[in-house]
Amino acid sequence: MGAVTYPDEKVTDFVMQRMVPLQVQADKPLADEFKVKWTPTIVVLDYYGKEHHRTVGFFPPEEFIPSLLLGMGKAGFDADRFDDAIQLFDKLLAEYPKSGAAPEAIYLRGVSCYKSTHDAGPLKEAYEKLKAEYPQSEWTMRAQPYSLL
Amino acid sequence: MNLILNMNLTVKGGSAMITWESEMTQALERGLAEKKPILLDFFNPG
Repeated sequence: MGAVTYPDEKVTDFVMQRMVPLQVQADKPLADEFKVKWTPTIVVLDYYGKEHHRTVGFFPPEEFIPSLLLGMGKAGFDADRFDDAIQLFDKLLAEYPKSGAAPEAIYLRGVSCYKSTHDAGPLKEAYEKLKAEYPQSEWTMRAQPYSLL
Repeated sequence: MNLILNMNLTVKGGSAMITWESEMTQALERGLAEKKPILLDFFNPG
């Protein structure tokens, strides 16, 4: 991460503008608190310190930013700030539609829309989009029941 | 002089570099003040 991803200009700009970066060696007590077993482990926390998203292993720049957007969206989702979550998922899907984070973003966008409107339409739309664009994704499988709505 | 040294640490080839916090307490204080989430990277220095 330190050799390829963090020096990338887009990654640097994204992190410095939108997040507070904290780097801790894996042999420090904080790593035990977070039950870290391998590096790199990347965790997205809200500013109260609550974890919302975690990845293990290397991410290139074009996958790292969407993973962070997904984590930020999940923080909004977990806090019932669905408008914020939808905005972040939309940005991810507009700018990084081919990223590994995209299918989960589609799924959680559909759920966020449902939870903020109680309209089941977005759930079915999420499934249809997943089926069409990411047929092999586990998130397509998870959304499959929404096809019956 | 300190200011100049710090600038050299955070600038490389004309592009800014990520300036990392090293303590959770400070990161959370900054996050709360700036209303930003925390990117926590556990790394192995090798």
